[in-house]
Amino acid sequence: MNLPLFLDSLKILVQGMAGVFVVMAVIAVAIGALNKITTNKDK
Amino acid sequence: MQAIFGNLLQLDIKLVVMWIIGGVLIYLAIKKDMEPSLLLPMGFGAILVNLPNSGAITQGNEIGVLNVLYDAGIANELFPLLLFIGIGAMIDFGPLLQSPYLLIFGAAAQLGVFAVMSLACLFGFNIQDAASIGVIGAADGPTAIFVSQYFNSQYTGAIMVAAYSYMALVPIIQPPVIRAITTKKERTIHMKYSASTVSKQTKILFPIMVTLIAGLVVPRSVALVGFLMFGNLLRECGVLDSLSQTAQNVLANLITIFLGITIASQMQADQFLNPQTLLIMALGLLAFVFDTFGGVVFAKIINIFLPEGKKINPMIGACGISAFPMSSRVISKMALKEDKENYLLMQAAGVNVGGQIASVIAGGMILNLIAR
Repeated sequence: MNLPLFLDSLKILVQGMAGVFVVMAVIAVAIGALNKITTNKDK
Repeated sequence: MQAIFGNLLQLDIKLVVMWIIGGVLIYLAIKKDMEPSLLLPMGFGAILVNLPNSGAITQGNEIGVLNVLYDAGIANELFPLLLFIGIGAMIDFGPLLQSPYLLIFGAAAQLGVFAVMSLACLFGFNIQDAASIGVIGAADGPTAIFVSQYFNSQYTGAIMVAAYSYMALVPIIQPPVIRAITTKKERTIHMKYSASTVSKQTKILFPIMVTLIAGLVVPRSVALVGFLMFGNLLRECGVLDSLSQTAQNVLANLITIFLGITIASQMQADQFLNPQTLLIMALGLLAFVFDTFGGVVFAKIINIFLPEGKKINPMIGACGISAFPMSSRVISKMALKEDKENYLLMQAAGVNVGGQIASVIAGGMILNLIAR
């Protein structure tokens, strides 16, 4: 059992999950914008 | 006689155990149809490399062909990346482009990657091996190979067996976890699906945009994301059908053949038969459980803020596990089992392809956060 390393890794857990959420949110917003732009263009 | 049967005397119980493991993998591939394209070559390879003085692997000064393939395609991460071109060409991101908010569930379902990384640290693995084990939870073979090779993990063989076995076991792993954390009422929530068309420009710009965003924010993920998105661009551009078909079929099949049998070079008895392998198998299973838990619970939390009639069926959160398209099929079947008029396939497929992107980003995030 390596408790100190486990506790250190929790920081990476938080940073990693936060990072994935941020990137996915940015991509989702960008897709929304892309959809809007291309739909308006089609109209 | 010694010259003919001398090799037999070097037979060891550990080697026989590996033959049995190889046989089990072949059985699961053929009889149970569990990821046969990977488990069959891996099973056969496990037998091939565990013959006494096997000529397929390096023995002293004699270089084995599997080691040549390993150095040429896996140690430098080439095979998983090439496979990603094929996977990208196979995926239709349409359902996701219609409802981009579904991407967020893909992020939530990466919980298993990071939670199991921490657990592996607790069990005494160093941070690089722990990260490689955690990426089993990406439910994405090429990403798992890429990360474990990046960190030069000594457990690549066990990680691969766990990753591909559990991907095939998604229909068995996910339903009990989902039932345990959702109510019948939640599982029967209907979600409206309005089929809107996505413009061709969006489909073409999407892979370029994802590559730019991922590359700028998580630069180490750019090889993974870039190759996946390159494959998708081949599919969507409309002028390279022949290349797209080649990527989806010939390229993906060729790489799969070499990948499976080459991974087996890491399944030599001395490396594979140890308590760590069992621990890795257990942690891999936990990673899939945590992924499912993360996606479903996140959907339940979102539901707290949504008005009646706009609530999300929390089961679709589980599809963020990646394992495309098996997870979306499992959830769709579960929804129909609960309520014969509850069609969730499109929403589940949207989350599932979002999970494919999220798992690659999670792999890249690990590479960014942990030093080699």
